[in-house]
This record gives sequence, C-alpha cells and structure tokens, in this order.
Amino acid sequence: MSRSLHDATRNSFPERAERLTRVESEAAVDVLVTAPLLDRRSWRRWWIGVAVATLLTLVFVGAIAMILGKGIGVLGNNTSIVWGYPIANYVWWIGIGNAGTLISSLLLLTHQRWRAAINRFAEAMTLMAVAIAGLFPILHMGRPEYFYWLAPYPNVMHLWPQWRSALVWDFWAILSYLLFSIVFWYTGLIPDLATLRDRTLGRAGQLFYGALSLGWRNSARHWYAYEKYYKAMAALAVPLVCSVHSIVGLDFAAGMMPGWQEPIFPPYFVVGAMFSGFAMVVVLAALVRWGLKLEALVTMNHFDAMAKLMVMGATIMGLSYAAEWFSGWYSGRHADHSLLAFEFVGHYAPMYWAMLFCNVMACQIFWFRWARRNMAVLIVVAILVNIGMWLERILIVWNTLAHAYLPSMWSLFAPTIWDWAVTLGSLGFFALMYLIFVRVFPAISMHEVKQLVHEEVAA
Amino acid sequence: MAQIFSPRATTIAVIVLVALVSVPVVLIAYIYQVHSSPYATHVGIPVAQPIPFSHAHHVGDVGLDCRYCHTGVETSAFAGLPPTSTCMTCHSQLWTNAAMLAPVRESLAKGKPIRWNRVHDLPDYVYFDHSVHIANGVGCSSCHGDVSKMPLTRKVKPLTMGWCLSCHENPAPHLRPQAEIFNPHWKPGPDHEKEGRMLMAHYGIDKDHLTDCSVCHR
Amino acid sequence: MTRVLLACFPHPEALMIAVRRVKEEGAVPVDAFTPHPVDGLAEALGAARTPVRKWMLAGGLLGGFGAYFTEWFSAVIDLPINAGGRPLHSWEVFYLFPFEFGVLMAGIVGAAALLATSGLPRLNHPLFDVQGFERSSQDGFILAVEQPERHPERLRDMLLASEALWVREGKT
Repeated sequence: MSRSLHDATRNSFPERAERLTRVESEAAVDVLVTAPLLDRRSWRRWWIGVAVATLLTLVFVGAIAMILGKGIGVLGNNTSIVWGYPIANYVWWIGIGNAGTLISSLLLLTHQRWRAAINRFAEAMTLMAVAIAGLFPILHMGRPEYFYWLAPYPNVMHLWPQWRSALVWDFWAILSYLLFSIVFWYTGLIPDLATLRDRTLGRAGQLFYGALSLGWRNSARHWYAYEKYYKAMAALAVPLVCSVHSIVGLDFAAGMMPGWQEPIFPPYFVVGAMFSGFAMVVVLAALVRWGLKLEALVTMNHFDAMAKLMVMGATIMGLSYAAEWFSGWYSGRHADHSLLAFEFVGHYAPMYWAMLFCNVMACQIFWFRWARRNMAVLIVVAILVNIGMWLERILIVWNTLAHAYLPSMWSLFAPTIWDWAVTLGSLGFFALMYLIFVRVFPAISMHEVKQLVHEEVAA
Repeated sequence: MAQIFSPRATTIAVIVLVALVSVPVVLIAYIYQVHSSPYATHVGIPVAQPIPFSHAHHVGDVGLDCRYCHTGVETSAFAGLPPTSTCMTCHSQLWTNAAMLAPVRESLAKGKPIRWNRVHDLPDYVYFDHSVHIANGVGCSSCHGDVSKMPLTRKVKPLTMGWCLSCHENPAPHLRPQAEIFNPHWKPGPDHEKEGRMLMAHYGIDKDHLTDCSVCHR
Repeated sequence: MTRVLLACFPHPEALMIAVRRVKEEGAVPVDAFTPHPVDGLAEALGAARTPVRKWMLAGGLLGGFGAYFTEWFSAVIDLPINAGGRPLHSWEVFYLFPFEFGVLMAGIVGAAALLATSGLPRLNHPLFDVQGFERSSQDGFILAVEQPERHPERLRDMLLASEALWVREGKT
C-alpha cells in the first residue's frame, strides 16, 4: 500500500508556482520521507556512494596521520606563506556551514515557508562542515597535541589564554557553533524520530528510533514549549552565525598585512560564507531529492528561491571585491598598490580571474527564470561557486603572504601531494558522514512540512 | 501500539543524558588532578641511583656544606655534580672496602664519571640559572627541601611553571638573608613579612619584570 | 495518573471544535497529541505557558557573564601580561568569547529545560499502551479528556459525534 501511495503522490500532482510542495495530504509526507529509510532494498546507489566516500575518507585519514606524524613540513607551507591549504580549507568549510544555520533560523524568523522542506538536510550539512572545519586549524599547528591550551582551565603552568588573540576567538567560535548546531539540529529531529519509531516494524529500528526520540509523544504542552524554544534558538542562531564568520574575517583583518587589514572583512566573510553555503545546499538538495525520490517535497520553487539568494550573494561579493580594490588604491600605500597589481597580473592572476568569474559572473545567469528552474544550470553554477569560493580563500592566503611588505620575503607556494590529499579527502569524509545521515535520519523535517502541507491544502 | 521499552529504560535514558554532560566535566577534573599529582610531577618519589647516596648522612650527620660538592652553584647556571675525586677526598680513607662504594672506586680507576640519574630535570626551553637565585636571596632548601633529612634524594617541589611563577609573582616571602642561603633548616621567622620587604630592597629585586616571558624563555 | 478517554480526529480543525465542545459539556480536556503544532491548541487546553525561555535567558546571561569574569580575572588579576601595550582590561575584544559562550550556554540550558519541563526522556509511558496512539506522530489528532465519574458513555458519544475516528480508554 505504501508503494502505491508513494507513486501516487510522486506523480499525480502538477507543480504549481503558487504551491511549494506537490503533496496533498499530511500522511503522504510521512510516506515520502520515511519510505526510503524503512526500505532495505533500494539502496544500491547509496552503497556505491559509500564505497567512493570511504576510499576518499581513507585518503583523508592517511593525510592527517602523515601531517600529525611527520609534522606540517609535509605540507607546502613555507616561512613566508605560513598558512596555505589548511587555513583556506578551514575558511571554506566553515563558510559551507553557514547556510544551514541561516536556512533553519533566519528564514524561520522571517516566515519564509519554503525553508521547511530543506532545513533538515541543510542543518546536517552545517554540522558536518563545521566539524571538518574545526579539524583544519588543529592540523596547521606545529604542536597540534596542545590545541586545548586555547581553553581556560586550571593548569600547572599557571597560564591563561591570550584573550586578545584571534586564535582564541576562533576556538570559541567554532566550538560554540558546532555544539550549538548539534543541539539545535537534534532537538529539531526529536519529533521526526518519534514518527519513525511509530512507523518502523522491526524491533531493532523501534529500539533505535525509540531511544533517540526520548519518548516524545507529541503532547500539545510539549509542542508549545518546543515551539517557544525553537524560535528562541533561531533568534540566537542568527547573531551566532554572523559572529562566527565575522571572527573568521577578523583572523585576517586583525593581522597587519596589506590586503588583510580592512574593516570590510567581517561582513564580507559573512556574505561569502552564506553564498558558498547556499551553493552547497543547491548541490545537496539536488542529490537528496534525486537519491531519495523527494521531487514532490523539494520542488523547483525551492531551487528558484535559492538561486535568487545566490544572485544576491554574487552581486554583494562583486561589491566587496570592488571595495577591497578601492581601499587598496585609496590607502595610497605602496605595499597595497603593489599587492593589487600582483593580484591582477602576478603569478596567481589566472586563478584570481577565474575566481572573479565563478563568484561574480556565473550567478548572473540566475536573473533569468529559465536558468533558476534548470537543474543542469543550477548544479553547474553551484559547483562553480564552490570552486570560486575555495579559490578566494586560498588566494587571500597566497597573495598577501606571497607579496607582503618586505620584498625579501616574497615567495610562492608549491602545494604537495599531502595538501591535495587532505583537501580532497575532507570532501570524501563529508560525503561519508552525509550519506550515513540520509540513510539513518529523515532528510526532511516531517512535522514542519506536514504543517506546511496542512496550511496549503486548507488554503 | 505496544510499549517498546520497559519502565527501567526511562531511568537508563536519564542517566545517559546526564552522563553526556557530566562525564566530560568529571574526566577533565580527573585529568587535571593526575597532571598535578606526584604521578606526573614525581614529587616525593626517590630516584634510583648507581650508589644510594644519602644527603641525610653527608649533610645532616657529617655537616658538609652544599658547595663542598656543588661547586658551581654561586657562579654558574648549573650547580654542578661533584667529580669522583671529590668523593675520594674522604672515601680514599673511609670505607675503602665498602661494597656499596665499589662503583666510585671503579669510576676512579677507569676515569669514567659516575652516571647519576637526574632528580630535578627542567625542560630544555627553560633557561634556569642557579647563580642568580643564590645571589638574590633564594636559598637551596626553598626549592630542594631540607636535604639533611633525605636518605635518598627526591623532589619536594613540582617544578611546574605555575610553581615557578608563584614565587616570581611574589618573591618576598621566599627570600632569606645572605647568611642563611645554604642553611638547609631555614624557616621564615614570625615577622618575615617585614623582613621580606627589606630583603627585596636589599637585593634590589624589580618585581615588575620577573614574570616577563623572556626571563625564563629565550 | 488520570484515567482519560482518547479520541482520534482526522484533522486539527475537528480537534479544536471537539476541545470547545468538551469544555461546554463541563468535562476537562487534559492534553492533546498532534503530529505537528496546532495554533491555539495549548491555549485552549490552558497549557500555554513554559519557563523554557526564562531558563535560556538565565543560562545565556550566566554563561556570558561567567566568561567575561574569567577573562577579566585572568587578564587583570591573575596573570597581568603586557601584550604590546594594550590595556589589561581590553573590553573591546573581550566581548567576543562571552558572546559565543553565552549563546552556547543558552542553547544547552534551553534544551535541558525543554526536556526537564516536559518530563522527557520518558521511554515507557502508559499512553504507548493505547492501540492507535502511534497515529499521533503521523496523521491522527488525538484528544485526551478526563473520564467523568458519571455517564462516561455520554462523553464518548459526544466525541464520536464530533468526527472522532475512534474513542478509547487510557491513562496519562
């Protein structure tokens, strides 16, 4: 019976622009979301994905073992360009995390109802991206075993963290963001885990989802407290996520280097993070909807909305770059002028131009409605944006450090195989965690979508 | 729908949730305790030596001065360990056949120094200087304890950075007059607070820069 | 432990009407169990209050001020270090850690308060014994009414007349 209802809900209703979903009943939402989880047969593509992701994860683990075992000398970092890939990857991954929180909190507070179908898997993306981001600052340390010295605790050295250091801000930003996101995500998941508990037939599944749902029984009293709590969490998450990315921006802006010491960095990093995060959400949404057959819940209307946000992001990124160039020129300092020239025509200029194309130009196609509703265009542009944003981060590190005040310090960066292994491996690790998430947990927030469907059907 | 769990499961769930928060806290507190305990600092644990040398006998019973063996303590960073010939100033005459002293005689015969095991070993990134402490009113026993009561030599202070800083931040209570530097039994007197202030002036100690990083780390 | 009648309704509107009718009849609606939050339901049941936000505020303020105190105590009192001539009490950057930590504590305390005030985790509950209760997490809107001492069958009939799919006995 569930199969036929499944097929019926998938194809029977045409997509309408004024409706966000193509589902006509609340029961159908449960069927659509839980059917793949409760069905053991249709997971062949998933296993292929897991195999590939596991291989890349092994590369990641190997690279980390190499870096921790042999030291950071195995990376391309040198005495001038001391940051290299780990910091670029850190900024890139934490930027990816941004969008999940914004979708689940900012869009909730501003009553953007389309968020309901995508917030769960976007939040999961946040968790995993932030967890990976947190690894990279540790990996780029000379003595990674002492990373916990950044926390204030009674110690036999009678020392305290240097609170004026961007490294300490980073530590707390990442830690708070990660733990807060876990709590936010898990509490959002509890009612859906209860639904799964009640739909599972096997004893093991009942025990698993039953224990994780903590005995949630959908009481009106609990729902009331839950909604108050959830909205308050959303209201806290928005300033938290902005502060986290501002602090990442301050890592650079608080350093007195040409090209870094600019007050625009914190807001520019927040927008850049949102931009790359939304691009990643587009890619994941396309994959989740294809893999779990959720076309009825995640519709082209969702992609349309995200594409609009991306074109806004791209435009603001363009303005931010322009502001950077302007303040570099207006400063009148030789070092800044020289750095600007190095960016546009120096050794890394091809990458810089590619970055400008990916981050500013590519998204402009989304001014056209057909492009916002064409899956191929969406995915290609989203991947271009993610590449562009990674280029931006590596170039922030490379350009400034390769071309700082002292010409005697000018040098270039040659990435080693371990740089690439840890970078590509982190993508595999992300994919593996994400695949496990979609296999075990409902990828879509059922109780929120049910509410949405109820409102839409009633309207 | 049938019950999935027994009532006992509820209790277990509460315990697990509480443990999720409390176990890390307790674990951190435990690790801290281990780090400051003798297990990590080796305070009070005698170190095995090739010869069971007794400070209690040589300092307490015989009354040797610290500088009789540790000759460099007033002039150099390292207090110095005595060469075998210093031992032989007495032991060429006394206990010449004692089995316990066989390694000393062997050392003299072969011209190879005795390999003592370090009791007080600071990390290499700490530039500790004995002479500056001796010259500024810090007595031996402030850090090494009353060795005249130690049959086997052991640490009495943890030598952690926090312990160093506890004196560098407020040296006055630990200072003593020049005549008392090598007195292993010295204890601060009842009005030592006033004396400490006078000694600070006497030795010309500038407290403001005693906790600068570069004082100990170069 | 209250003996209740549980009535399952197909949609939230029917549930809301039933709550009103039950109250008009003089019976006491104890609780309701719905797959998603229903606007005005908690208010109709007289259960529209929760201390969760107060706990969040308390946790956030305590975390934030605790963190600031840690910074001030460590940088001004316990280990005053001259870092490039900056003031010991550099409040201009000292708010960053308290902000992050305060938000984190508000979230953690809020989640703990949500669970504690809801009596969760509660893996075993008499309601789970009721046949059909599992619909409440899917598509059933279940109302729990205190079983009256006299004429429980009148209440049962009234609930069935208000579109209830089924009415069963249970305990909360």
